[in-house]
Amino acid sequence: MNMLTEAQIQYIRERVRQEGINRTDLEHDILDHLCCLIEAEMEGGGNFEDAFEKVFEDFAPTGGLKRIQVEVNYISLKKTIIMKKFAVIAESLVMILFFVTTLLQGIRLLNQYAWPFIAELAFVNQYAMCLFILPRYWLHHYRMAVRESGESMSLAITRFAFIIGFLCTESFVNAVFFKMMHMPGGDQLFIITAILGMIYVPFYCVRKYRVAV
Amino acid sequence: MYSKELIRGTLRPIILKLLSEHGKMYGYEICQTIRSMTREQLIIKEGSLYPALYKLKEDGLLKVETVKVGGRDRQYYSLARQGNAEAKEQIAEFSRFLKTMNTLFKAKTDLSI
Repeated sequence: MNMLTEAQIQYIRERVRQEGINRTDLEHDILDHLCCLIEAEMEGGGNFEDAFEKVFEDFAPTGGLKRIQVEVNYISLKKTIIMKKFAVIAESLVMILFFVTTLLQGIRLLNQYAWPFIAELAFVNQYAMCLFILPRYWLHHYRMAVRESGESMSLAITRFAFIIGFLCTESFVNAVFFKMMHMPGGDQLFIITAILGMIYVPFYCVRKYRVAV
Repeated sequence: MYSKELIRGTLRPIILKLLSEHGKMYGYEICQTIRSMTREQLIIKEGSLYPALYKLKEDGLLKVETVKVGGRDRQYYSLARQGNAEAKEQIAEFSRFLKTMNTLFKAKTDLSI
């Protein structure tokens, strides 16, 4: 059997990675499969370069390897997708509830009828908003921003800006809630929101401008 | 040679049957075994094989063992504990399906004569 050298294997590995394969398990499978095919091809006495080109062309026509990875990723991510769908439904419910209670408070209906468990519901909703929805929202946008902006703004500055933005929305949501529930500290939270907002907005504008230009 | 669609539907029981008979196998070995057993009538492309293997792994039917061979990592696939019972069931189901197809197409041929 014609075994490939370390350098030849490394060359194939590089080509596989260039095709966009970044899953270690799939890389092992594809690399080994390619090596076996090339070794079999070289059995007839051919050289590595010719055998590689022939096998690689047949194995991975344009975008072929990437398509395998996309399919494999979809299989692995199926459970994650179901969980994400569940999270989106839960988020939507919390958001609807948040705006409905805000509206009821606005038109002075919330306190008028003394509905049972309304206060508990409002607290649960508030916790879900502050601990689940807002962190998820900001984390998602932070990841998008890092991917989008690339080198346009340093990672540390982007991270700082997003933390400020996150705290700003947390503070705003709590300020509204404190006011709604007639709890002390609502005004102070509005002031904190304003200060954080004034720090965040320039970062936001600069980032958007750089991405656009 | 058979169409890709036809192969896709049958690949799962084929892999399970091969692994139940051979113990552990790697991707290239699976392709070559199918090829030689069917006298090159059934050629499995990598684009069909690996998604099928990863789906079986995701479903908990297969387990993977990585072994260093000739300077690279080779992944051997074998039936997981849960996979043994499932493999028997799927192979039996597929055999019944083949018999049904055989009956159906034989009946069609007889009618056409």
